Amino acid sequence: MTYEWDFSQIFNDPDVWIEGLKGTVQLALAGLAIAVPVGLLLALLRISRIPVISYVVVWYINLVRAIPALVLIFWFFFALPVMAGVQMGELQAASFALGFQGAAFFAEVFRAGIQSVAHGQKEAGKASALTNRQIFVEIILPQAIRNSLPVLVTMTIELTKGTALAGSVGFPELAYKASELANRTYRPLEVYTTLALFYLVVISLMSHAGRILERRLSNSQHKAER
Amino acid sequence: MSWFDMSVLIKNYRLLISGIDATVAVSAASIAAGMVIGAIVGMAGSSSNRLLNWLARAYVETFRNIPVIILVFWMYYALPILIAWQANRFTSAFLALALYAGSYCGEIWRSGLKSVARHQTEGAEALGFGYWSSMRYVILPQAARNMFPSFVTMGVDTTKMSAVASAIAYPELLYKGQLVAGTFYRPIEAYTGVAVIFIVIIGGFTIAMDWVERRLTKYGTR
Repeated sequence: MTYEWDFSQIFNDPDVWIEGLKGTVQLALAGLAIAVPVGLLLALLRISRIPVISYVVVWYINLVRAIPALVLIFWFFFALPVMAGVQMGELQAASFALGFQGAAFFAEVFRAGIQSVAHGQKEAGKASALTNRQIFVEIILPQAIRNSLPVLVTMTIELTKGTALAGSVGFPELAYKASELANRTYRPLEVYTTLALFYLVVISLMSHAGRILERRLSNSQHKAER
Repeated sequence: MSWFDMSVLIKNYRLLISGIDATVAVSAASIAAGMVIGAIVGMAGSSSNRLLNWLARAYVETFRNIPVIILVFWMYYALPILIAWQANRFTSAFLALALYAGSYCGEIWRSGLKSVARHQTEGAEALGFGYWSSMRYVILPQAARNMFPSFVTMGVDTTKMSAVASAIAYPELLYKGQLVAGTFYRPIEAYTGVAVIFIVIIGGFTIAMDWVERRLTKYGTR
């Protein structure tokens, strides 16, 4: 038996794919909008050495990272609304789950970035009579973010891959739209192959961009050091 | 009615344990298969043969960049049409996770083999070792210690990833949690319970592996 591939039906209605793509992008951006600031905040709290708080943050980071993203999405979608008595849409639940888990990963990246800034920078700042806040905001942080950019790209890629999980609670991203289409057209082979190839291309491009960025940064770093 | 009722978890402990079983089964099988695939891919990737290099690269890029849940769907819904054989839920989830773990391990093996200094290979060669015996007696014992922590991270990641198998109704932990949540209208307990069990599994695994690693470094010469 040979199977006749037929892609015509699954592209009859390109809107399905476009809508799915919109959902995926929307969710990825919403997740990032939570993960980046919260991650930075967690990193700062963790290195702040405020007695109880930095301890709690370490636990938060370790616990949240040990929970599968899909479990968190279910938790935010089904459990939290009942617990807190709030309404929670698919987009909200999924972006909270991906965002707050992403934040735990981002926090570690930012922390490594902050600690990678040479100690001499801080001392030089002090010698120049800058306040601690000025030293941190104007000297340490810009360098820290720059140093962690390549890893941040990797984390962004992971978060983007994670958006495909949100279809499980009915958020209309690419994977969800695709499975609807597969059911409607009885063409799962074509649909899921297209979907996989699409992700392959997009994510490969993203990681390629990350590698270029990394090379550029390390080049300019060397120049600066010379 | 208290808002968190542990008894729903306790009453369903058999269900949850069978879920843990299924999670551990598919994760362990995928991790083991992934390490073997990774060894092949890593050796291909660090060989001097251009074609093998390219194939290894292509494999790693492919299965790293496609979200695992889509691989699972593909194995369960698309593959049967292609090969006219329906893999069951375990096999579909296993194939997807093993391919994913394999791509992860491919990179670990490649950098692990690279981490052993070049003159070790040359030394083995000078002593008359062939490729396989220098691998077996010289390179691998040293590479293994360097790769160990990365394999632990990979194991954690693959175990967490196995939750996506619930999307094709493979009866792992999250799926069992969905059953409990749906049957007893207890989503808080069910999903919090599942999250906690995952934390315990992942935490226990990490602690155990840290212990193993300490022993490896204690008795091994570095």
